[in-house]
Amino acid sequence: MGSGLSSFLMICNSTTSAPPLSPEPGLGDLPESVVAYILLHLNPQQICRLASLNRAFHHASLAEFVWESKLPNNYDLFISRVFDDNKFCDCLCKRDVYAKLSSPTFIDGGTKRVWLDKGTGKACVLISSNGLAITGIDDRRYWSWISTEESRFSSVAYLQQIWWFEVDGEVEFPFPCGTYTLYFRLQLGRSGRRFGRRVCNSEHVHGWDIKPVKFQLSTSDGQKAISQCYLSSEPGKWNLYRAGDFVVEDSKVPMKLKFSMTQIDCTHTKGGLCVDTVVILPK
Amino acid sequence: MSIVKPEMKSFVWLQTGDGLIQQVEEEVAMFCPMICREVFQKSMGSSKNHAIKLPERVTPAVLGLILDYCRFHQAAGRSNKERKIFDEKFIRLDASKLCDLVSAADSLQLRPLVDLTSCAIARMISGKTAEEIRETFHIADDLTEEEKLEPIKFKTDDSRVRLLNTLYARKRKQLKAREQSKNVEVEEERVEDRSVDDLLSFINSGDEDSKGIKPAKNKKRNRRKKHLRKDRSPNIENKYHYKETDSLSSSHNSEVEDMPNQSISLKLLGYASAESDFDDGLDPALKAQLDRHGREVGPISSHNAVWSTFVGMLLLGHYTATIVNGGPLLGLGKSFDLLKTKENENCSCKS
Repeated sequence: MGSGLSSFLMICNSTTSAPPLSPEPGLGDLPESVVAYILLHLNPQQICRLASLNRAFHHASLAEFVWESKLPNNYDLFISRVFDDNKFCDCLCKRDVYAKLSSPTFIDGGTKRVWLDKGTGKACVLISSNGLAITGIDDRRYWSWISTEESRFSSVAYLQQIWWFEVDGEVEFPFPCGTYTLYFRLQLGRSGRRFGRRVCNSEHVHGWDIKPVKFQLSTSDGQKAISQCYLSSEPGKWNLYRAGDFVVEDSKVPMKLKFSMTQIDCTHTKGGLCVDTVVILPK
Repeated sequence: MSIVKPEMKSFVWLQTGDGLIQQVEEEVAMFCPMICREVFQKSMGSSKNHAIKLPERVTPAVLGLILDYCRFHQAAGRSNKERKIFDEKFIRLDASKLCDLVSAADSLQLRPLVDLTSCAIARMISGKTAEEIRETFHIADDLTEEEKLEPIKFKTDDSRVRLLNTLYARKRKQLKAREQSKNVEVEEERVEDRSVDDLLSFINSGDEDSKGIKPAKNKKRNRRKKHLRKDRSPNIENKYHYKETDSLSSSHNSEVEDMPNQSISLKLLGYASAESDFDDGLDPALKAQLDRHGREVGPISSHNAVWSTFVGMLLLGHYTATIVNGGPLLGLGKSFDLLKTKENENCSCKS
């Protein structure tokens, strides 16, 4: 970045001079309007990287129509769902609106977190265990809350042992058009910190290898997904278990989702599971 | 090309930036909105004398390319596939030709061609960092330091943003201090010039001042030393070290003594005004020393990675996860950064 310093320095520093400019007109001579058309075809991270290239690129990267194309079609619905006060989008330029929407925001009383994926402009939703309907959550024999640093929310639900395992939830959100996948973030065993080190207590882990767990997903426009799987990963590791995919075609109508994870075979107990969040990410 | 009798075709006269006038089939030329407008609204282009003046950016070579494009696309009856194949072949040009083409097409308002060429250029530059692009395309960095250090105005509740803004503010202050000491040096030079002239006239009138010549010599030597030393990254320890070596090596005059540290530190802070200090009969060599210290204000910290105000924001976040039960491992490249989660929590709690 030497060329930005004083010209006096450049005269003196003959050993490290910048390479001579090519005589024919090139990328550096393009006017701002043309550069903006080029930026239209790049993703937001690339636009930001190139904003420091030269003055034309810098000003072009602030162009409204470039960022308007990166925002989802229904970003006004998104804003009204996520933010109480949507006046800010009048005073901010589109780039700042994009930045604001792509940073995680709490909604629904802190039980959910939403943001736009920076690369694709699609929504990501995180639903905490507080926002899920867990059968038996109030019964201290079965479930307990443990506070942890390993979650995006402050606490996770820990299952000691239960016969009827059922975790339900629903969400309504104006998803931008695209395909999304719903996951459950789970961990076998209970992790904590002892003497500064992460330890995992798997004394309660049992019953997951007898029968598989059933995941279900259904949407308001009739899409359904059902899958089964054994929770067979090693204790102490957080995993995303895929429940299913859904496609959003009409972004003007908020999509209602219902999802659940069940293992209700009452011939055996199961336990030792941490339920953190339900994650919805674009595919 | 359809077989049409020559006298049935109408032509439009176009003049490129270098004065060359040529005639082009009307239907081809009218594909460009700008030419269309000139013909209809201003009735230009009907004869050689009234040729439509094309914008500067349209050179004859580029015009030839554009007319090829127009000629192909304005013909009806071409399938989408044919057009696509033509387009792909058309943009197989090198970077500088593509740049010429895109700016010419933009000035002629030929939007489909602008889209096509800008997409091709975008493909060329995607995936490269700004430095790589500067090297490949020989682009000069004409953003001033101040422009690169604009504070980030949104998301000020994020501690990372606040940190960036403080760093930027500090760097801006350093740059200002440097500017001020540079102004001081400009003042000094004038003063020194005057003293040299005085000295010369004094010498010419009555040659007594051997001391007068030596300071001039010292001044030049100090200047050279200053230039060489600029390459090394300055820090506080080095500054005082250089000061000592200079006072040892440069001075033939007994007058050259170390300035008391207080006045130097005042210079560093830019508090002392230029004129008043240098009028108390200081030696030019001493002035050179002082101005050297003034210029070594502040380490050149390498915030190169965060010049763009926004890139710091967008490139700071990342996610990863392991996915099971999903069949193919989705290459999301995202993971939940476990340590950062707590930090986010703290930030949101504070706000």
